[in-house]
Amino acid sequence: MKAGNDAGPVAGAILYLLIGPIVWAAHLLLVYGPQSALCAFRITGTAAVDPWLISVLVAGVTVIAMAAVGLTLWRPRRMARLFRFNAASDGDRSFVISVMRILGVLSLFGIAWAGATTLLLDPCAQLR
Amino acid sequence: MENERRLDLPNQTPRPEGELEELERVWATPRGWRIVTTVNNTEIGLLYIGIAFLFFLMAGVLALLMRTQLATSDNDFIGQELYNQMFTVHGTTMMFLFAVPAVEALGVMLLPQMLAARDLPFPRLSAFAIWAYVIGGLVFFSTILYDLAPAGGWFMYPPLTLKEYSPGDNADFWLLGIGFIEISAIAGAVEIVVGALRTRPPGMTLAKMPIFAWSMLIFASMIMFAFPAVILATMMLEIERSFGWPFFTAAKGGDSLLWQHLFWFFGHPEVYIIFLPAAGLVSMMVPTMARTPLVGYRLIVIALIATGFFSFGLWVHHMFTTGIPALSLAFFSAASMAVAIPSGIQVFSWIATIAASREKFRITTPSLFILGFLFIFTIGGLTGVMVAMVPFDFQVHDTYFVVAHFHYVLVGGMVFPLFATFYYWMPMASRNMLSERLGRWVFWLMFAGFNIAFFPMHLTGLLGMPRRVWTYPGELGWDTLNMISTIGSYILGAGVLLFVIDLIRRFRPGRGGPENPWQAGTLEWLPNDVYSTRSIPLVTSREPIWDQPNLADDVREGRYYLPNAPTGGRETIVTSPIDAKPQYVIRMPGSAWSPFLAAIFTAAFFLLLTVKFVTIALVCGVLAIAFCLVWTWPLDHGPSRGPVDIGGGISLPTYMSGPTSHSWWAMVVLMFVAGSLYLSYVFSYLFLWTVSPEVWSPTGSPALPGLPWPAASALLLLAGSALIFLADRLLPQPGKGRVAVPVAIFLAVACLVGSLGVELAGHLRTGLAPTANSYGAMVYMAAALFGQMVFTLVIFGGYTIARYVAGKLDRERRVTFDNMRLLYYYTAAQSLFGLMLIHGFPRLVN
Repeated sequence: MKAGNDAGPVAGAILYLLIGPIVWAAHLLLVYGPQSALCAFRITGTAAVDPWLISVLVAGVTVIAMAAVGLTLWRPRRMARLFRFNAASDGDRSFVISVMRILGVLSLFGIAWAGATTLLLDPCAQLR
Repeated sequence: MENERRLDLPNQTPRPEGELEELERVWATPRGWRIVTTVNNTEIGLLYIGIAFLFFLMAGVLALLMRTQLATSDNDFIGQELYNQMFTVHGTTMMFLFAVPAVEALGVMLLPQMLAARDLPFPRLSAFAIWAYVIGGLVFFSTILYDLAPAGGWFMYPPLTLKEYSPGDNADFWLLGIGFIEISAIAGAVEIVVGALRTRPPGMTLAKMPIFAWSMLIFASMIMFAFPAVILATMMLEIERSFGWPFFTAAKGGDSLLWQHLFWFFGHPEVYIIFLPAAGLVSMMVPTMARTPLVGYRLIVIALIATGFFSFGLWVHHMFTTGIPALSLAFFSAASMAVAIPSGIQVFSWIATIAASREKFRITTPSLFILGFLFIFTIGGLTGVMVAMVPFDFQVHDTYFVVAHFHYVLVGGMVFPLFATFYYWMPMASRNMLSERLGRWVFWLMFAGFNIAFFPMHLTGLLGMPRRVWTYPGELGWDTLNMISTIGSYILGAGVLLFVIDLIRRFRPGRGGPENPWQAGTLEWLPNDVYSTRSIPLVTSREPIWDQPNLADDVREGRYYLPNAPTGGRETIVTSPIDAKPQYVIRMPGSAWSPFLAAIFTAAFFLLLTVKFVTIALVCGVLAIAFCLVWTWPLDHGPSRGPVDIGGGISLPTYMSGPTSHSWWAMVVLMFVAGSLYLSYVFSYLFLWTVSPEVWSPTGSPALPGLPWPAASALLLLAGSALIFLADRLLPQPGKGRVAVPVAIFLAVACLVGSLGVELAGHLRTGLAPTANSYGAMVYMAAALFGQMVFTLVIFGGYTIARYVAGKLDRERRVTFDNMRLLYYYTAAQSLFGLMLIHGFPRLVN
């Protein structure tokens, strides 16, 4: 054991590890925020956006988010270089990469599940 | 062979005479009344967990009284108003004063031991947080005795909790008291994040970190992002109650749903904030009882991270019946079901570990509580998936079904693992183990009592019994089920009482208990004392004690790193956050009165403010700040001590500034907390605009100040930042002085004050009043948040100047300046964004 620093920047490693959940969170923010605001505008009369545009928005954001996570799953080592992630040993590196990939798979599932609802529901319908 | 192996170890024996005695002297526990000055994690951790358990008992007594009231129909054992206060104090105490503090206490107590660190990196911060919690919590709970307790439920929904419908100071005790305790929780979270990432032993990379450390890291990170939302909400509700700023009053453009959004953005992650550390504890105990490494370590890490993230996407499922569009509900319904996947991963990993047991899985008292946890929590999880479905939630919302569900999740997911923890880790705190024979009685009474009490509530809920009713008419068919629940609650109470009796009989605080009685494999079971382990081991696997048979002896003999106290004070090794390479030796402060007194006066400030003793409250506030300054003054000691040898040919510095420093890390964590609070504000601003655009400027409120006003404010912020940059460049070499440095810092702080003044003056000139409507309230709230940061920096800036004048700040000894600089830049950036939002957004949308 020698004194020293990590093999790469810490922020890059954390971001790399959490790419999937971060994209999932961004997706939720970007579908829920605009959809609920645009529906509220219809009620307050601020703006009257066609509901199908809201559905397209949700679907579009979902496709982009899935593509972003899919890219990290497909090319994990290229993404690692992008985030300047490195670890001192092969074991630690493969640990972080596999954690990142499985988190990505879970996030992909979450994004698809939430986004798919736009295919089934009227974007501004009330249940009561 | 044995001798060769020992020659490879970092330090050779025999160690110099007197070395161990010096360690004991440096880490000695204060005696007598001075015990309140202790800052060592093992001692304050024990106090922390003890007080949290006391709150559990007291809130449990309230639960028994409520169950007695509900045992039969048309009962008048407890009056309606007192019943309302009781369920509010029960829920609030269990969530804020028991569950979160209990798991945080376990983090403070066990984490350094699991990491073989001598202590967490900010021991005085831990002491402050704990004393603040003890005092604030006891005062809050005592309000139930004086008819001063809040009665709005643990979630304190407006409009019920607005002044019109909840007059008196009762609700204020909740808002100020709990808001203050949340700040204490955040202080603990800062400690845990930095501790888990920076004080691991050499070699303990992320892939070898104990699962409990992972879970505490995620727990603390969740606190950083979840708690600020409810802190902002409590600030806004208290301001509305005290000064009439209408954030939640619909007639003036406010919206009570804003409270629900902010509260549940905190409140749902809160469930996982409680559960994840408990799951981490289970992941530590199961392998020991199964005598085999945890199956699916990697998957459990993934599950913890995924649960932590997904839990922030569920808050709206508490608001399914509030009229939100169906598609929005579907997003959150999907996320609510998705979170079951990572939770399921953990459950299957534990079952697989039990199944993979090398020998027969040992059925001990901790094992029983773990098995009970698996059974109860799984049922709670399944009903959770049920209420995640919108149509089902519509049917059972606000009924006893929900009460049953969340007690299955919280008691199963947290209380049962906590009792397992008490039995399992008792040798960390007591000379005696608890009784295994009584422990089995405790378990079966609690397990049977819990299920008898809470399972029937699913049925009473399905039969339509609403939550929070103090009594019910006899003809509805709820009597029998309620009577069964009440009997069950008393059986559960008997189990807890038996535990307390065992505790009184067997618990004797101190060292000298059995060493590793369960033959566990993790570092907390190494021989340890008040200074933690004699030397800090090199970690090469996840279960070092299992894989390195002589580890305990070698650590005890001082053959590993830092077997002494080379600086003559308290210290531990700081390692790099990912690869765990030694970086420097942190010198930690010892016992002191200042954190204790700062906590007392902080608590007094908040509590006196609640009862409107403003002058005395302000005096207490000033004293609290003064004691904080006294506490921090000796911390930035500079590099004068020089590097020290920790063994193995490694020489480490004893002082570090810049991004490698642990205090830089703490400041970054604090900036995340501040940023999270500010983002909650931005959400609130946009939410209220979405709901009531008609009160926004310029149609519903006076036109905004002309652009020169925000431009002047922004210029002052930029000028101040430039002055801080200049002061950084001008910091002199040690022993030299430059008058320009304190002048630059002074002017920079003056720029901040000026910027705030310009911003306020601009709005006042337009005639905008904070009480006029929600727009006015939000505009002045932005100024209030800016003012809060300015106030902090006025004190911090003055403190930095004082250190410079005292000769304690220069180009090398600069941690204080670095932290002030970070906070200044953050404040300037946040405030510039705020100016764009307040002055740009209304212009943009018009």
